[in-house]
Amino acid sequence: MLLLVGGSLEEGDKESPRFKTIGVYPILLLPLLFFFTLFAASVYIRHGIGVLVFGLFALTLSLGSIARIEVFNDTFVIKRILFGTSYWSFNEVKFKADGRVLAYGGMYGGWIAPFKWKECFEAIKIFKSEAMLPHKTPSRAIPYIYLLLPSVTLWLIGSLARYSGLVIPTLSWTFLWGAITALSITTYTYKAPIKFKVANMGKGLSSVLVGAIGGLIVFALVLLVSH
Amino acid sequence: MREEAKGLSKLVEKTLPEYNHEILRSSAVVRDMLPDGGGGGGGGPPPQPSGCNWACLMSCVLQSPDTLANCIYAAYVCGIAPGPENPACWALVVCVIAYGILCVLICCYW
Repeated sequence: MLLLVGGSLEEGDKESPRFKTIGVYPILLLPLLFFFTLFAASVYIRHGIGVLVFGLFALTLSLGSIARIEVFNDTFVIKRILFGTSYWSFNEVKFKADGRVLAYGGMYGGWIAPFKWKECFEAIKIFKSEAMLPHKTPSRAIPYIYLLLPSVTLWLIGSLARYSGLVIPTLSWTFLWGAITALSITTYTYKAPIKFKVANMGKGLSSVLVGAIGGLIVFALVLLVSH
Repeated sequence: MREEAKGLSKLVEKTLPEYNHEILRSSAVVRDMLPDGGGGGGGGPPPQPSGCNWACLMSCVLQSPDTLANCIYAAYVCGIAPGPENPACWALVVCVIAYGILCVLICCYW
């Protein structure tokens, strides 16, 4: 069978990807900009720990903004360094900007700009017509609940504490932020109707890992800013 | 005597540009150290277009832990699924714009 590998047509077996390239997520430039601003603020006010923590988060997002795209017979795979590997069917793909941007998976996926965008466009266009898997459209309402969980829960706890005259210690408040964030992200990723894994772990453990990292980052940054 | 004068004149001619450059450089250093940024007149950096307090601007984003935590959370969730269909990415856009406007208002116009 003729296969597209690295932009050229050649023979290949069923196990290896038909096409692979590297891509970047343009939208992640925004959080990067935001965290580099905070990094600069920390430098300006000579906050050593701030430099380290904000710099680490900016580095995390920088690494997360790159992914490897692999196109197989009936599916395509997005491999990311920190946010794991996700698997998508061809009917979850749309092309934007004349094929320069690959929009996949709706609100659980992302918009990625492949480096070899012409070859990637051609490969997916060819294979898309070969294998069209039935796909259930995921709920758009449920994820909002998980996403709003930290802000709403903490706002409620804060309001209740103020109303009852209770003073929550800074450390407890910071811990609450971290724990609720971790719980929310873990639930969001675990409940997402997608196939996803980090390294060789199952979806449950991968979700816990991604949630725990998020919770730790929020805990560290809130602790830093509160002191 | 005339030969000596000629030699001295050549030496001065040769070393004068270096002295001039050194004098200019040291006067620029002194001018930069002046609080008003110039020695009254042509030199010095151009005046800032607005009366922004840069120290305030830089530390402004670190003032509210809860707001910042919301933005960090949004940034992380946006990082998990980086696309415009992810509401966390829009929440982050709101964060960046809101922080930007608020800090500029507080530190430049208030």
